[in-house]
Amino acid sequence: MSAMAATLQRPRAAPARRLRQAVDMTPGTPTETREQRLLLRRLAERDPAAAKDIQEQYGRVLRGLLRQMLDDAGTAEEVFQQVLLEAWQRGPTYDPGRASLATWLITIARSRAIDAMRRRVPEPHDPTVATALLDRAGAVEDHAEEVASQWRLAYLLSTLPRAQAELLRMRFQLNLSQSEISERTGIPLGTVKTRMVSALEALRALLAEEGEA
Amino acid sequence: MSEERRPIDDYVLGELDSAEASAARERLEPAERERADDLREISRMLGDLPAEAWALLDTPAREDLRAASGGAPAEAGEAAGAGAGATVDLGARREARRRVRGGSVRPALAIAAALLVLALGIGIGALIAGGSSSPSGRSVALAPMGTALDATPANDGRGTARMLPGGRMRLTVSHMKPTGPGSYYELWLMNSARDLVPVASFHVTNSGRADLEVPLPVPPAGYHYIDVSLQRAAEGLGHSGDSVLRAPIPS
Repeated sequence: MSAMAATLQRPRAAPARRLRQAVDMTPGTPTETREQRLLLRRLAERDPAAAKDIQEQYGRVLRGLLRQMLDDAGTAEEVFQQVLLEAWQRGPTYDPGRASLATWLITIARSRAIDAMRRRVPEPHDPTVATALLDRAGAVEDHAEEVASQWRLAYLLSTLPRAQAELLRMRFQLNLSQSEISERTGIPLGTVKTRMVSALEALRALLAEEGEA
Repeated sequence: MSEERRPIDDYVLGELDSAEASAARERLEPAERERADDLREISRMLGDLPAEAWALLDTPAREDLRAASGGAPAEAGEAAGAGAGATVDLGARREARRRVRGGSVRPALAIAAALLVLALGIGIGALIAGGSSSPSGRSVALAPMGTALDATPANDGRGTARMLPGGRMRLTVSHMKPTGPGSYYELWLMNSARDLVPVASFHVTNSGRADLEVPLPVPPAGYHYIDVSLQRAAEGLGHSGDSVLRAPIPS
């Protein structure tokens, strides 16, 4: 039984939470491409080219995550550069057996984004506002967690075959009904449904693969 | 069971109202119910994704570009075929596009076309050097694709692309790494690694600058990005995967 399946079968966890756990926290290494293997080697050797590789392979995910978290393009770019630097510096200590590279990078980005958001929270001069600030700090972490899980899922989505991902996009981003998708694509309605469910199954399988330590 | 009416699929895809969903779920075996719940939850999470996250599907990664330019023709062909029906959200714009798929271009034709495009781009670039025209219309700033840790001069480049009346574009770049023998820059209109069209080739001298006005082979509205790549003549026509500047095209 995969770690993903085991996680999903915990009776006390609601589906949303169980999947969040799978998206956010499960270790593992999805199937690596040749480019990813090269990047891993460069990280291990602290090769300066590793930073460029990260930018090319994961830059869109990390920038998107940081822009959404920080809601400021300038700050996001500044933090992105911090993430690149930190990943490059910590590269030799990265353990592919503990987390996929995407998960590792997203975790670094989330942490640095939280740091940046905390810097925005002013120091309390009035003790009565301290509790409110603490609550806000908790909200910051919750928000960061939510955004990170979204971008983790988005990254997995981007690894699906294009045809599968596009079907999901039509349904869940463009909010087209199955009938509308059928009309647009010329694919029979039943086939549209079958393919969409297959795409979801593929995504579930990727999550499960992430869960296998 | 009708192919058009599969309650489990409708449940998973969130197509049922709450009463129908409950009924459909109750009819499932426990293991199947768990699977369906997982898929339904993934559907919900997909529905919550921000538009920027979906845009990941549009932006070509370097490995995709390499595959599309000939590195993995079988995979590229499969994806193109599989995606034929799936990318119709782009609608009729797609019909106006010319697609570049390295694996399907005959080498001799590819080389001839490359030389023609290269000559055209360089020629037009030289003709308009000094910039006597006064372009109007929308312009976009092209951002470098390098990183803070990468000191490659090409990554300090910057540029502006301005759409001109009559289906033309003016591209101005500066701080670019000069092109050496056997290399040149290529301007592209791009949606993805497999959906892009070359616009012009150009060289950059030691000044690091280039200024060219070129006719667009297709309407730019059908594309999401302007991309400038560093190309090596020996490596063929397709996108090298070495993008140095890129900008989204305003809708």
